[in-house]
Amino acid sequence: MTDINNATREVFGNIQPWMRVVFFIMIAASIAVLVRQVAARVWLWRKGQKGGFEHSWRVWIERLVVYAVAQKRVHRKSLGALLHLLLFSGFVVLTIGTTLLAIAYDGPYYFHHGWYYLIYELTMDVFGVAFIIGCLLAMYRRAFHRPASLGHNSRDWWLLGLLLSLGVTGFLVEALRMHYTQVQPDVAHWSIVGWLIDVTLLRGIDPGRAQTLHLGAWWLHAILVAAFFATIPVNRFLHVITGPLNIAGRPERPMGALVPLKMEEVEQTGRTGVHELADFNRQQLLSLDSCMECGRCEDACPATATGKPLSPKAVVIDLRNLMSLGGDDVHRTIHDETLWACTMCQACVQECPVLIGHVDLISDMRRDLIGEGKLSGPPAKALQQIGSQSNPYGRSNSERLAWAEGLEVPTAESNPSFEYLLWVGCAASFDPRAQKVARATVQLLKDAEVNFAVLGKEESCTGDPARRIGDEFLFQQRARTNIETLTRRKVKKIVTPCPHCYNTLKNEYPQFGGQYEVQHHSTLLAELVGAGRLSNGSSDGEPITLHDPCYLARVNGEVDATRAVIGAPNDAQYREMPRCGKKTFCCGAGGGRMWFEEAPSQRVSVLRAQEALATGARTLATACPFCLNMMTDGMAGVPGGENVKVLDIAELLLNRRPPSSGSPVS
Amino acid sequence: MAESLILIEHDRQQVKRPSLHAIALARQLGGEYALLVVGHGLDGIATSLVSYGASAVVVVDDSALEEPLADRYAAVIAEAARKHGAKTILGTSSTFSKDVLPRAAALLDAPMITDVVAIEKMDGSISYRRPINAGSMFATVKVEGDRRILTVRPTAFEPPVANASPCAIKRFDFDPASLPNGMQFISREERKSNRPDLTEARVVVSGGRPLKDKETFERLVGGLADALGGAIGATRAAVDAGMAPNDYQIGQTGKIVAPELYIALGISGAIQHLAGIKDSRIIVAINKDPDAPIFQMATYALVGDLYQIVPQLIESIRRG
Repeated sequence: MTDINNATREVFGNIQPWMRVVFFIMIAASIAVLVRQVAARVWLWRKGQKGGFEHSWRVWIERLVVYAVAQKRVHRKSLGALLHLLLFSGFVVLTIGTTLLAIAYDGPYYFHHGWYYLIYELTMDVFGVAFIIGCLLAMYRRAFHRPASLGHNSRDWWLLGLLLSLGVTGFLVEALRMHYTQVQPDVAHWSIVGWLIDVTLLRGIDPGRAQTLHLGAWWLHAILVAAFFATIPVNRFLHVITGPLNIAGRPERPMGALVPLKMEEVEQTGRTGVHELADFNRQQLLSLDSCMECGRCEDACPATATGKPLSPKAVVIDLRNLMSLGGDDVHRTIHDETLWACTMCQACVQECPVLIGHVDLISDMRRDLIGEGKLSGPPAKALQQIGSQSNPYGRSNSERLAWAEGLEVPTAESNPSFEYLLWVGCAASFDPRAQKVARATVQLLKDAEVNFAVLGKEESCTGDPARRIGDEFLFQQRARTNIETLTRRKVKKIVTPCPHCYNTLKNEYPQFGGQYEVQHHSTLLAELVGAGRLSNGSSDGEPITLHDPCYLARVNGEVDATRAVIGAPNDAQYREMPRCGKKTFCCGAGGGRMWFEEAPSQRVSVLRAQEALATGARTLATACPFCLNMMTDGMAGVPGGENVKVLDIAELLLNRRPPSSGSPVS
Repeated sequence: MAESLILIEHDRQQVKRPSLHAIALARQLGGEYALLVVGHGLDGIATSLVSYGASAVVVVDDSALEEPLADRYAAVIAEAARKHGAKTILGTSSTFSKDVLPRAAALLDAPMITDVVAIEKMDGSISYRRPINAGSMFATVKVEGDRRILTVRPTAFEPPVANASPCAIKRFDFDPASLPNGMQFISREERKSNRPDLTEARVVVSGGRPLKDKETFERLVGGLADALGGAIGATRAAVDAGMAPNDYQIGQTGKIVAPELYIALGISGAIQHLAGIKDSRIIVAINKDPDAPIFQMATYALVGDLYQIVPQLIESIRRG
């Protein structure tokens, strides 16, 4: 029986002192290559504007723990996520373990023995196996699943081969050392993999020969380690360095808020948005290098899914290549059609494990296109009409209350002591289909005896489409006018049936001093139902599903209220679509796309309608006037869709109301 | 030698009058200008052009130019411009010139400015005004180089008066064998219609998805339009479904109409369609869905089956 306290191993036992010197020089040189290449990238990032890393170190630590250590964005039920977990945990543990060994060997206090040593050996072996399995799964995925969005390059195979060889040679070195030093079984068992190789493959081999083999394997392993360090900057592994940097540096902003352009700066620089790479900020340039090309953004993108010339991943990689090649004009590599194809649904941003802000990149480049006058046709006209008529439809703002005819809707003028301001939005004011939503909402608020008012003619477009299309001047002009009105009318609480108005009022107006308690009508209606002030009646027994609006669910995290309003939790006939809740899929109208021409084969709404239809639902509920418009159009375009009713949750709630309470739907 | 060369469009029988408006711009630019016509069998057209004050009417007439194939037309236009030493080549803002002139510009290695609405002369250099952002802004641009290609918005310039003494008609000779052969003419489809132009008609009858197919669409929408002497329109859905050609599309991504009477057959009334009809004086909607949003905009609403109503309507209008 060995004394456990004496259990340890030799570290450089088989390596001559001169060899150790060669080894250290080699490793130092490879690390120098790594540092030099990373420094070259840092030099490129520094060409950008100042920006990013603007919050306190607490936020950095918190973010790093959540996204880099716990890898919140990586986890999901998929082979890719599993193999990443194996590779990541294996890599981290092996790196820490090797560092500890170096500290023990070179440090003043040798602690590498006894129980610590035994647990160390076991841990290293277990995670070494995890690492190897991770490599094998990654190879399997590349060879057989071949997901297109991942991208396939011979360099990826070299990297995986290198990682696998590192793992395998590591175990070989261990086994050979154990064989020639003839470790006692009760200690050997802790190095489980080395021991297994020792008693199987190395069985009967002469210890002297094993020692020679060990020397060879050790050098091979050492050379592979050096090669690994030196090549990190030229392969996907770079994200191990740049990923955490970007995770820490990404500015803290609500997902739904775009960066405000400071007009004083624009006057000085004459620059609106990004025309040259150096117009991006430093953190944005760094973010290009943090992409490991996993392709999750592309998988989630509605533009990619409908064959438009946009892939968020390609935008990042094209810009990165432009940066590597020393180019400056971003429009040489990112075409106008690519930028216009984005619905700004934020699905890519939500997916990205290293927090790249694709939508910010696209928004910045769109602003430049607008500044250069590169937009034409219906979307340009919509912008023009937001400017001239205060709504994108070009209707006279004096008709803004036409939807309310016969409803006796209180206005801020007639009811100045209102609690809630009902912000109707342009769509529900002017689109005859969405007007019904405004009417339903008003009837429900009246039934529940909510003290509310509308602004009527004083309301105007929040500027959301303008900002997202890239016309920041127009947006800020709208925002300032509206904030002035809201201040004059002493508005504290706002409720709106439009998720885009909701998002802009809630997340973007504070940038200009407009602070309100903003609610989407779903949350207020859910509260009223919960408090018994409204009855959500009973469903008609027909199958029903819900399309979550991006700017409600994904961008603002609100997924329960919509379901509560339509009684989904207690409805046996309620079905979820595969892409639901915060992981919803765009209807195609966001980012100003409502006003763009879309080829029939490229309509996002059709794709989404098919998904809803496949649930067997006869009613498709939604909670956004644009989704309502797009999904109605989408349903009309797919066979069987004509039998599906597309309704807003307020309309559904009103329809289901017990007959005794109030007037019927008009 | 002419300072400017103006490309005149024609439909084989006669000159398309909007293309003459570029003459006003050529006069503002100063110097002599020649008119260029390209095609086959152009004698009559050339003769009709002699009195517009041009230095000459240049005729490029060859059987190889029978059809307006962009690569051939661009080649002869570029060659004619070189031979005449024209500094400015002018066309009108049309689909024809969008097809042909950018190629000519590329062959001449000359800058091109589209949709010119005005020029400004300052310190001996000329800048050109053109609308951007759907007409909400104007850009004033200058170009480098000693040759340029412009297209002109006809509405921005006065039509010319044919009162000058006749000029010479010059045939421009070239080697037909030197023409490019990258495009092949397959067929020409023209819609010969006695119906008025959609954007100018006083009555527009428009149909949506419930019209099912091309024949039904023509029978009901076309029938009612003819009975009323009106033009035909369609929703995007009807166009997508192949019931009506693309240029009948009314709405956000189609034509904008403002007739005195707009009749919507089986149109539910998506805001994208309404964007194209909101300035119509009277809107009559026929739809079997009483909840159809279009009824909120319609002056007269008729809830019912258009397959029954429309034939009766046609019948009673015909009987007068």
